[in-house]
Amino acid sequence: MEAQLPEPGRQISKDAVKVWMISSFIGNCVGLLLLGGLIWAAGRYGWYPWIGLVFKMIFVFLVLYLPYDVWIEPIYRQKTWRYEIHDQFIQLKYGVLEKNHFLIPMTKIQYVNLRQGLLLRKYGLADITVKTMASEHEIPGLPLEEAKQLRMQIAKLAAIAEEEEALGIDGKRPVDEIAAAENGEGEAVPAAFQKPEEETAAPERKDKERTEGDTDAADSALPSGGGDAEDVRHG
Amino acid sequence: MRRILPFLPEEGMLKMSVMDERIAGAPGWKRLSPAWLFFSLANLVKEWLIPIILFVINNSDGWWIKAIKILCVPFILFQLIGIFLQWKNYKYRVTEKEIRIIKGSFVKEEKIIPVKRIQSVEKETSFIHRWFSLTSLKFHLATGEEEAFSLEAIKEKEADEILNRIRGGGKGTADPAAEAGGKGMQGVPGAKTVFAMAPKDIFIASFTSFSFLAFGPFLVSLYLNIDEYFHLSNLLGDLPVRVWESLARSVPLLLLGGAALIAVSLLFGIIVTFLRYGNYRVESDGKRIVIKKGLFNVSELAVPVEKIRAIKWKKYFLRSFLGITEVKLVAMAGNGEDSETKSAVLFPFLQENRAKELVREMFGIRLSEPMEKLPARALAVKLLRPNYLWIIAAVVNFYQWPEYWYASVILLVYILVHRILSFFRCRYRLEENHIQQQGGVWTAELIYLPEHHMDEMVLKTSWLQRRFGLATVEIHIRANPSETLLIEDLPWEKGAEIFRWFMEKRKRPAA
Repeated sequence: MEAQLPEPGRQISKDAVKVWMISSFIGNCVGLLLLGGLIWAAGRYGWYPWIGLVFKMIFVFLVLYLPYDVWIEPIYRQKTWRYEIHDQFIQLKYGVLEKNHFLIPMTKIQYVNLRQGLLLRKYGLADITVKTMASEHEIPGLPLEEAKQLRMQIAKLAAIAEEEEALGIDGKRPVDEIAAAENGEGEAVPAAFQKPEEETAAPERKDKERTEGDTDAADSALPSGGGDAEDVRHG
Repeated sequence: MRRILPFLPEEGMLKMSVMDERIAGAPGWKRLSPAWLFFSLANLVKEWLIPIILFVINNSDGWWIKAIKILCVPFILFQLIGIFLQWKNYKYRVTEKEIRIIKGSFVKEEKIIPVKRIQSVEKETSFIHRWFSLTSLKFHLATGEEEAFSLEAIKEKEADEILNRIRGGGKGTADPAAEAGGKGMQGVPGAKTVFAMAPKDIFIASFTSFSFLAFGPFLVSLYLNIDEYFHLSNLLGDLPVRVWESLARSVPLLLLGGAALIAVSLLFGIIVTFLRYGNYRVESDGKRIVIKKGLFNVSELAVPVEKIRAIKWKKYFLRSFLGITEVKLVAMAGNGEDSETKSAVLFPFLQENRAKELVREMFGIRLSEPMEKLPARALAVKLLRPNYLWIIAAVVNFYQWPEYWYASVILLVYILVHRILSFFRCRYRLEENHIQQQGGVWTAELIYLPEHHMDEMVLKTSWLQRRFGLATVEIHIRANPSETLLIEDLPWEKGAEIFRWFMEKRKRPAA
């Protein structure tokens, strides 16, 4: 049934598995230690018995879950991770038990980030995060060079893609009834609202944005100037 | 009137730069009305009222109280000067393309906000404002509530002119001031009134919204407030007890008293609803929607049509029996805290047919019927899906309080009923350029979302869903409060169809 969706093609590095295994192991150990401490404290200081019970249940669950979380899940996660960068959108697919397909339009991307922690650096890897208005997405475990290239690619595409915000909810340009009436036309005609000065000004601005975007991309890989680019034009 | 921070830089620093003094001298730059000083002073007095009562009237001789008194004087002076400097250094300029604000006494700050990026404008006129024919404007941006900024206490005429200018419409006529001189509907001459609420509607709504139930809490808080200053309990003595005793002696008198109480609380509910929704009207000029309401404190919300992401119909449990629905604009507007009054509600309560008709007129969209239901196997998945919180709760329940075993059974039944209801509520339909989806459990929520306002799409399948060939579609919409379209447990093929549809739409962006 997967065949019904166009699959994204690009994979992430195999080394990511090792990084995930190590970080997952450390995380699990810390979690278990904390829980152990809480269970001990619950017994020692006579908390309500049900609190200790909940902690113990979680503890048992985590211990049983540990082998899967540390050894099996990272392997399959790496195997199932796919991504693809199109001109107009980013497609992601990942997940072992829960499989997720993401589609993120370029026009909605706010900025791209490259992140590299200690473990990732050791294996020469990096994560890329793509921030949209709604959420943040990660393309993890990429070889550093590839990650840098990808960041640049997304930043450029996102800078070029222009937001089609000027459309009403019916997908048409809003019709200015007053202007139409003033122009002596009973029924509103869309041509009446495409003001000539805007028409000529728009392409210029777009070109400017594009070059701005490019230089920005070279520096910091931000689509159009910064995280708050949505509202601020740096003058 | 809003909170005023005397010295700290105000929230929403959009842009900082070294201010060019020549710019500020250029024509078009304006200050807030001097009345702003008056409002700030009033605020300052309000802030200091309680400390002054505590420390001055309560004339204690402790040396540290004297020290505080002496320290307070320069501090208050400092604040007074601060308020004046803040006003003096706050300048704004509005053109058709952008709004600029320069402010700051010691640290200069300049904000530039492209008009295109303004998501909605709120014009709030309190009844004190109206004495001075002032108003305040609040501009909402896509970055959320932190970045919203306002022009407080400006002349009403000035506000209308600003709104007209940033509207950018009617540019054919040269002089915007002359236009604003017309019938000022937020400075827009000739905006059509699309909807005006009839007193009858408000009357019905005051019953279905249960606002009369707020009478009790209102009385209690009123009593406590008065008690704080005048010690009512001492003043009244045992009067309440005596009144109650004489009432309780005769049944007719008791009934009469009860009826009077109910009548007063109903009246209270009606008054509250009228205050809130009196003069409620919606205007449209084709480019933006203006929602006006309020009797004493008047508020107007203007949303450009292209900033409306989606439209939402909400049928509350009780009102749905009367065929009454609420229509909301999904947009960046309002703060979402007090959702009923603040967010962009288009029609708070309206007959469903009328609401649909009006939306069709205003936005040129219509809901397609019939919508698809979930397949029967979705119900199986919904019922089978484990609820981990319930499992933990049940184990704790049986272990700790086995005598109350029925508690977890009741909880389970509630969860299952919830799921069954959500199964029957769910409807969806994919159209050429939009998606419609109905969800909710007790309150039915129907949303109309055009493709170009979808921020991202997720199609996901859990292990259990894959066994039954089902999936979940999630679409994020940029709005405040944030909004997500969610279709849970629809057939995988349908989910994939929606995903492919979005992909194809994106490949060929609208020209």
